[in-house]
Amino acid sequence: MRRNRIRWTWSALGVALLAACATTTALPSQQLVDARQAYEIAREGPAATWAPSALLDAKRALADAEGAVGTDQADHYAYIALRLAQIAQARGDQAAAAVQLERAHAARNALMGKREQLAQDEIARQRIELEKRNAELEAERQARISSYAEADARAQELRVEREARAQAEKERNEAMQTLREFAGIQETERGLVVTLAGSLLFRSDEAVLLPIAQAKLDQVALALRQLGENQAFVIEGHTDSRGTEDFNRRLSAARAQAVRAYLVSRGVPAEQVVAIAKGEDEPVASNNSPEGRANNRRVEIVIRRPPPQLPSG
Amino acid sequence: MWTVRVGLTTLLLASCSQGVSPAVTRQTAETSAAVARAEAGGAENEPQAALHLKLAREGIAQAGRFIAAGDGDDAQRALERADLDAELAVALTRESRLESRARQARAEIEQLQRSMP
Repeated sequence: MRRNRIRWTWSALGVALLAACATTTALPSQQLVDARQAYEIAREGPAATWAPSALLDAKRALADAEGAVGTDQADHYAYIALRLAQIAQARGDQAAAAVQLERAHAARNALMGKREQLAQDEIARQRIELEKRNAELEAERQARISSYAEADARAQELRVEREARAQAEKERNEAMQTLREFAGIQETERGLVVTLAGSLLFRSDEAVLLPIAQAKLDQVALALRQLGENQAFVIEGHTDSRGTEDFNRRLSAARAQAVRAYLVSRGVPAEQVVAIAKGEDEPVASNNSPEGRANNRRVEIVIRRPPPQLPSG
Repeated sequence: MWTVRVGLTTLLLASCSQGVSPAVTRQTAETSAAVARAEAGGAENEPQAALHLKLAREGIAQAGRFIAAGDGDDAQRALERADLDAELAVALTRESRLESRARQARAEIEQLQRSMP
């Protein structure tokens, strides 16, 4: 409505002016020059796209101002034209800024959404990491528990074994101690040799065990049984040199067999014990004296060196 | 607003006593409305806009003087110029505000981008 009023004012004026100023060439005022420039600037800016009607008003006002050059109202119309050009530009810039703002908001929202998503992803990743770590720790804990249990069980096994071995050792030593009371015991390269005097076991020239021998042989059987399953025992019968070799051999064989039979009857495993006749072949003393001959008349029980201890399965 | 009201009151009193044309009265109303919009929009706080708001007020004062001198046409033109100054103040204020918000949004974007891997 304002624009129309201005145009009406001009139209009323214009007729008079045309008549009055037909022959005069007047110079444009600085304000008109400014108005032209302002219009050009506005026209080349966002106003062309975003404020076309404001730009059109500016264009018409500029035309009015051009026409008013040389009249009394030239300055007024130039002022109007300048302001309208400036208004058009400001509106164009305003609209362009609104578009920029819209885009910036959209970009910002997108980034915030992305940031939120990244944060969520990070939380989820950390949660998974944590759960994984917890599971690992739990597994380690369980492994430790079971390895402790294994170690405990193993230690217990070893303790039991050790105690059993110590106990067996103790019993063996006790048995050996008992044997020492009536038998000679000697470590040789053949093994441990338990020597029983012939007079302790048999009547002269006989292979039947004396009754008193049994108690002693019971001790021997006990000791041999305690030496374990891997042990081999060799019972050797020996005589002095009186009598024929053949007789002595047979006698020594019978005596060794008698001792063997008794020991087996007393629980020594038969497969662990053999009886051998040595006759007069291996004297331990000179046969020229009664003491020497008495020493030669003997039964030896050779306890072979035990095989190397294998670890129990 | 106070300055405008005083100016307008003077104008209206003057126009009533001088028997000014209805056109001038209408233009007075339009111009005052434009100045009110400029003030409400905060033109005072934008340097460029404040300049044109000042020009608008001075134009109104000038129109008052014209009316007192019985010059209705000059008053009319002065009010037209003041109207456009006020309009320009409004447009400049809005433009400035929007550009400021757009700058702020771009700064926020840069900050977001820096904070993200």
